[in-house]
Amino acid sequence: MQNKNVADLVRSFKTNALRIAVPACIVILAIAVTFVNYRFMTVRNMTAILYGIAPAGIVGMGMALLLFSGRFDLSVGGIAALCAVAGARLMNDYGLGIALPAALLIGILCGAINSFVIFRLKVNSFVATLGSGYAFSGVAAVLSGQSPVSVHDLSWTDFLNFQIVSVPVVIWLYGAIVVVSLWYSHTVAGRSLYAVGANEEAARYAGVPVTLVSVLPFLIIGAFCAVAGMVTVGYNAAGLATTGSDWPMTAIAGAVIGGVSITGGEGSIVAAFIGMFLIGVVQNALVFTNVDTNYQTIILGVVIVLAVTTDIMARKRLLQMSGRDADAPEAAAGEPKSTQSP
Amino acid sequence: MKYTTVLKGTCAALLFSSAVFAASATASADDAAKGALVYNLQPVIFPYMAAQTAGVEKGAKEYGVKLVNANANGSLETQISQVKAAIAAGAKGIVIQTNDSVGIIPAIREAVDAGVCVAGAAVAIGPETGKVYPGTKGLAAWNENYAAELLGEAIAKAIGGEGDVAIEVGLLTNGTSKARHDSIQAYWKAHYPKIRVVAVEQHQFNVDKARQIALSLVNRLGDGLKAMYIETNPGAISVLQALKTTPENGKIVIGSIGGEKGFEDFIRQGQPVIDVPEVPLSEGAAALKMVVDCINGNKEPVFMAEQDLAGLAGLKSANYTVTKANVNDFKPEW
Repeated sequence: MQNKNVADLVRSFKTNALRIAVPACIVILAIAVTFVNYRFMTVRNMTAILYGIAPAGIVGMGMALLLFSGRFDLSVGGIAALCAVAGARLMNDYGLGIALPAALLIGILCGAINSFVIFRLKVNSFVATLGSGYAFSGVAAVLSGQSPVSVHDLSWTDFLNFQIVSVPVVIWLYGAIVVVSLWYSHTVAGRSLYAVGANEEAARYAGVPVTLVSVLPFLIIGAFCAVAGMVTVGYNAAGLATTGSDWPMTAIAGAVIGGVSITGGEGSIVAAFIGMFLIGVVQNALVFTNVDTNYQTIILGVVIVLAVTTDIMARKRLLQMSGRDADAPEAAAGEPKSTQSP
Repeated sequence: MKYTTVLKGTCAALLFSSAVFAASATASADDAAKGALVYNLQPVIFPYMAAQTAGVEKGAKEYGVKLVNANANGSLETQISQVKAAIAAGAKGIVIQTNDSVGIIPAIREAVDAGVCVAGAAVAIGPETGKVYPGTKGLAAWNENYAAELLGEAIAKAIGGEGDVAIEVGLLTNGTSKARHDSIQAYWKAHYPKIRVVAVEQHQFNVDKARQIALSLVNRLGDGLKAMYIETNPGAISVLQALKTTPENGKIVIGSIGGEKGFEDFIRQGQPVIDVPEVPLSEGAAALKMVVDCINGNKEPVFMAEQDLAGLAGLKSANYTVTKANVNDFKPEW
């Protein structure tokens, strides 16, 4: 009896330890870097990391919702660029009160266009959003005249930089987006995303309105891109047509590092946030430790692979513990297709 | 009739006919560029390149050449294929801002061998900055070593000739970035040994990365950091906005090379900002003029240094550096 209790305790410890593999990586890294430079583990530096990753991080939340359903959006950079340029122009012409909702509408409209192509015209989301991303970027370039659309009134910049409890408003905004995404993932529509991502046909037979459930994340990510685009307008005091060019990969990488399955059906918003944060922490740590700039990209790549590998191993171990066959093809590939709540 | 009179008459007739022939030949050479096909090859879609293209277009209109604009979207392979396409289309001239000074060489050689007049703008063709690549007509650009030295001197003066500084370049594999990075470091080492370069980072021409790196550097080094050299004005603008959230706002000297209007605005606002400006519109116009001259028969290579371009004439007394003292003497071209 006592042996059984010990075994349960060990199993429980292992299970929880594996679940926090990626967050643990962050903590270990942070402690190690703090030994090199005490300024690393300070509120100020953590705030700076969040400030830096906020735009891509906001998009990352939407990307996580999409990934739950087994789809992704490569047009996020183009949408954000379009919203940034249009928002900056509108801000100059009509003021912030018009620019913000208009940018939001443009973002949602872009999401709707993507949805139409994917679900009505039945084009694969990879191809559809790759193409639409080019188109949105092109429209942004035309709208901007290929020049930065400098914002005359810096009140938006000042607002984002304004500090509440020593934290800039932009980070509170990022936090609000995380909370909204978390809330959404717990609604019926949000939980249905996992079912669709795990097995679309099964979900359909179970009565899930698959198309409606799948369309909503595209509209949400469109809105998030608009928010992120407008954040960059504040950051750069200008709308740039080059905004977000590397966000698709960053957002997907962040979510996957956090444990969101790229084939759908698995993951959580909190995990995606942690994944994005890890990328920010690693980038920051490399600068803090003064690692030769030529080696930084190599190290970042290795860390990402290690984090994902650790996560895959953790999942395999969890499956083993729950009695499933860990050598089943999907488990071996590190992409178990089980429907699970967030 | 005297023999001498006949001789004088003959000589006069010969001189007159020679003059008429020379004049007609010159006229036909001057006309050679009219209607000629010229390609303007740009590396990426970027505001700087847009201004440069505007300069090329202005020149094309003035000299009556038929212009084709093309963009390589950051791909060397695409730019190489665009050079080959220009040759195949029978272009007489190419204005090019290359995205790989060395990688583009074989394609440029091919163009030169096919008799195409080639002029570089902003970025030198070949491994050496400020040099006209053999066989090409010319180059309108900064000698990047010189530009970096000008900036290095201005930053050094602004921080009293000593202290910790950080460098954020675009990419060290990029010829321009490398030349600027090497030269500014060498200049400080030789003239201001008390300036210590405590960090060299690459932002990969991405404003988001530029901002993140700068915040990390400021947090790492605190108020010990006296100055930052940030390559490209858009990156520097992004950094300046981010620094507003830190206690170091307005305390760190930010130096850059670019001449963008938004960056000059920070100087007007009184921030400790220094710029060695570039004038892309003038670069484009000058490079196009070189190509036109070449098509008209003048093959003599020309290096038009940035400081000799019209847009920078007003900055000579300030060592071509824009600070608060002379910001109104400079009219940004992008």
